[in-house]
Amino acid sequence: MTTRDEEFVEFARTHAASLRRTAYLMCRDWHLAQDLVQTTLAKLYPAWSRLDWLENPTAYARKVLLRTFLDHKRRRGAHEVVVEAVPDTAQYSHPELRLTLLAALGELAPRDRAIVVLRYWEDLSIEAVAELVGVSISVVKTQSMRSLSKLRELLGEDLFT
Amino acid sequence: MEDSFHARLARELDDQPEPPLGDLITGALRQGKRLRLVRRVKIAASTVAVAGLVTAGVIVGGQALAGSTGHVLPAASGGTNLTIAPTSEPPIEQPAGPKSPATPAAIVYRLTQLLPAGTTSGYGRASDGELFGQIYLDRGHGPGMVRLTISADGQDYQGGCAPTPKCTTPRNGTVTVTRIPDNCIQSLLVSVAHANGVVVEVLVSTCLAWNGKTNPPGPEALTEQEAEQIAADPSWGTSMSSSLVATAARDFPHLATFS
Repeated sequence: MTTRDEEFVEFARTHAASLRRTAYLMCRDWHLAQDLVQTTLAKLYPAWSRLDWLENPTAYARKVLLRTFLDHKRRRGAHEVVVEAVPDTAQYSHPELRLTLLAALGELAPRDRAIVVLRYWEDLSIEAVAELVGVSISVVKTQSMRSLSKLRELLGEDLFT
Repeated sequence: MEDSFHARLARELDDQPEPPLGDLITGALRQGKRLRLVRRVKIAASTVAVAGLVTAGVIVGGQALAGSTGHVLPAASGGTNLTIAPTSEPPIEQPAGPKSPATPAAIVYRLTQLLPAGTTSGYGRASDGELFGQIYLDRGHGPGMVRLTISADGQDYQGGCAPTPKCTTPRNGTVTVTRIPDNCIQSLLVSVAHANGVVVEVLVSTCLAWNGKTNPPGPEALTEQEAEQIAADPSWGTSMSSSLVATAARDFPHLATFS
């Protein structure tokens, strides 16, 4: 194994688990998340020798993961694993029927979900999310607000207090 | 508020049974090498096309690209060779007749016709709707899993050999054989390129499908040669015989799904 390969493997070992968690939050399927991350790292590999100029290869990996996820949704018309059925919001007063945040995330459109995950799970700045997703800062702000509003509505509670 | 959101998601994630990473990294490395090889080949091929020297044999990027007798491009990484079938070989062509869009059920049904004698079970399809079928074959040593996928655009098939494969140029198109000992799902992969543009890949596993907790072990149900024969069957395509598709829909109306 070359030094480059060893560096790549070290990077992959360090970041695979967190990338897979992010992927899982986007797709809610561990096996698909595994595939997405493997594909992401594979796509990263040919560019690895050219990454010296990148200050943050982790951010680049996130970008590739996001594109891989969105491509997957577009190209394959993938249907998602249904984690939980979504009952009417009126039922949320019963704790045992309360929707999980994970399941509520699944109700968002793939791109909106990705924005929420990057913004509030990865704690990226609005500017960083805009750059990753390839939209304007105002779109990230607007979509974030709408998505959070929908999550609150679905969950029947204020998540963020 | 991010903290609250993050903390709640973290709690919920902690409650999820997170499978081990397994061979993700070695798989990514292998797949990445394939991608890099294919990109180099594409660059070399386009350079050759521009130069109009396809049959002459040229030096591209310090690597020799052979000419008319089957193109062998020694790759820069790890001595991996991409072998492309000579154009004079007869291609794998689908028989004439009415065609319908292929389905996972059609893949499963056709597999039941092509597999060696044994008891079949575990019929399945991919959850994402790809042309991907699964079947268990028991040849007397317990069920072994076989999956077959049809890739229309070659995106999943990278056209090259993994670091330690056996590449051959059989009569019917390019065949890539890859063994990945540390990946039980893809223990043996045999890919065959067809004339209709599809690449058919047979996955012979040493485990069964994920049962929610694990992938139980299982014997390899096919030899390399058997897998190659199945992958090279001319019936495969993104469209397949209408009667076969209809029969498959009748016989396999409900398939289990795998991710």
